[in-house]
Amino acid sequence: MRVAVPRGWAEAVGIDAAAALPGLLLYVYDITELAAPASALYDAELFIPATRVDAALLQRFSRLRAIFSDGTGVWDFVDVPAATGRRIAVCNVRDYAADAMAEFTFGLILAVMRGIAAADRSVRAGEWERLASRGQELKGRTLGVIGFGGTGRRVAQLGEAFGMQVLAYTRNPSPERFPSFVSLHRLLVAADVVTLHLPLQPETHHLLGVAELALLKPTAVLINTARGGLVDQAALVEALRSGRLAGAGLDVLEAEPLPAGDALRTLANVVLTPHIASQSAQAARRAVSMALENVRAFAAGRPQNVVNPEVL
Amino acid sequence: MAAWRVLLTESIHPAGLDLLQAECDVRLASAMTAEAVHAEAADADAIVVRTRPTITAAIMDAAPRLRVIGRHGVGLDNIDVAAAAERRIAVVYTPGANDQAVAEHAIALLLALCRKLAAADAAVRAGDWAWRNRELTRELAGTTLGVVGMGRIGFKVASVAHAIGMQIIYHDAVAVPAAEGQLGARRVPLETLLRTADAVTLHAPLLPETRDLIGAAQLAIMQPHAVLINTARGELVDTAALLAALDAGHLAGAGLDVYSPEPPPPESPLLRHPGVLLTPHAAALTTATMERMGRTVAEEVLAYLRTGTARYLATR
Repeated sequence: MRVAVPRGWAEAVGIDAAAALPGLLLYVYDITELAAPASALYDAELFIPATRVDAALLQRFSRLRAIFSDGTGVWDFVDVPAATGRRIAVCNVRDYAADAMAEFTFGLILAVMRGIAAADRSVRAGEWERLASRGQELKGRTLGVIGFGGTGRRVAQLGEAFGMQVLAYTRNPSPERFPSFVSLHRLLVAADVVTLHLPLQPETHHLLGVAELALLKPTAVLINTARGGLVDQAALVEALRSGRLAGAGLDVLEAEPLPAGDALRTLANVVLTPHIASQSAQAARRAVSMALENVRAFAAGRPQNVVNPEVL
Repeated sequence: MAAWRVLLTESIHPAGLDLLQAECDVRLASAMTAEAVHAEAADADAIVVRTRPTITAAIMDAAPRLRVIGRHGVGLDNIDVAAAAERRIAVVYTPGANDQAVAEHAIALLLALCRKLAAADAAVRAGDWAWRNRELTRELAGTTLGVVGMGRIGFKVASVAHAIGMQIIYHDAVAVPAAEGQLGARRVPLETLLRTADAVTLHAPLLPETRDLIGAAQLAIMQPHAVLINTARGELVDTAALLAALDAGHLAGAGLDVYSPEPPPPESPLLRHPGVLLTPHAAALTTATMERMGRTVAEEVLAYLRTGTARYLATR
């Protein structure tokens, strides 16, 4: 079988793609070929994309059997229904970045609670403002984890290590005794720090809307490293601006990149990062490694991590 | 009997201020300088000091009624403790009061530095979303944290780092069995720690023997991708050597909450260096800790004035 791999994709994390795919024909493609209507690229049965895969791109492939993403939330980058319609399997990688995401989550929590980014700007500007009210401790505070998959679980563990009370909301609570599984309403009312760790799907769009944000304590902090669409961003900005929410750490937004002139840029009590929570050197390597493993498994007749298993 | 007179060099939390004002005539120095305190301590029974200025023998001699100096904080390097003892002036302080806040701040600096949060935030605000394609950061899990000084704060930092999945190595004058047993920490010589660690965090007191503990020779043997965190005292690190080491690629970055001199002068290259993360000696400045330190120093000062003794005497 022929597998199309983006040039430099595996090498960037120190992996030799050819060595990782024995027994397969490797076609290394440049991104420019995606704009060409005809290319040897489109003869591949197995495809590792580097850009969005829409229905039009899928049409150019003559014998495509599977697409292999190096991320988890494929629905944003691959037209899964179109692929399913053409009996093309779409594979993702999961839980490769639980540590990277959990650490980044706490990085954001602490950066907001201690005003780190604002303090750095201030010291560099020659100021020496030591406002006591800026800092809040984590110990003894309540952490509300929304979504309890691999990352949510890890975040809960770290919360406990910081001496926080941990509450979690999930549609599928496990029988574990830690953390305390509660309703979304209870979590939002009780938490000092709320953090989102679930996928964006039609039923989770604007999970935190105007009504939900209004339940939060005015001293609470919201962290989002999952998907921007989980939160009604306009309502969030209004809550931050009016002091009904103390701060936010946002790695994801409803529109990325952040549009010029967006109100978020002007808020001092927010830390903004450009969708990098899962982007550690170690996680990047694991993601590529696991995507290659998915390719090997599919080629060997043992498809795994298929998000649209109905095509099999 | 006239109320005791207390001079504060800097404001403290109302929890402490209220306790003092209930029994004393409390004044705030006009400036946090040796000159102002020297001039204004003439009738003080007690002085309460945070990090500045240094309470020197000269200041003590300008305050003939002075019976007790209250350190709002833990480090005693800004009080001439020997001179105080000679003059039978007690020094009280607030040990342990800021352990949690400082430990959390050290972790905050470590995470913010390793994941480049301040730089990322600046990039997003400036409209440079493509920053994300140029920068790749490192996880802490699976890497090694070197803790210089395994006291209460070092231990708290190590505990969180251990939960994150870091290996802990430490340097201390004494072995700390709790760290070894609970966190799997290994005690090593300082040179080994610097050579091995992916991140180094300083939690040692400033003493004559720890001044410039981290100088050019120490920085040169660090891993090129390693970071240095300092929430202890600026004087533990040779600042000029740190800047040179960063420029030479001997280490990748530094998170600093303390400086020498402090605050860093506006012309200091630190303020313009891309490889550092800077906070204004704010590690202990959380609402909860300010309340605790303010209340404790007030209680200690009042106890000494009333009874001639206190719980947290730094001198005998």
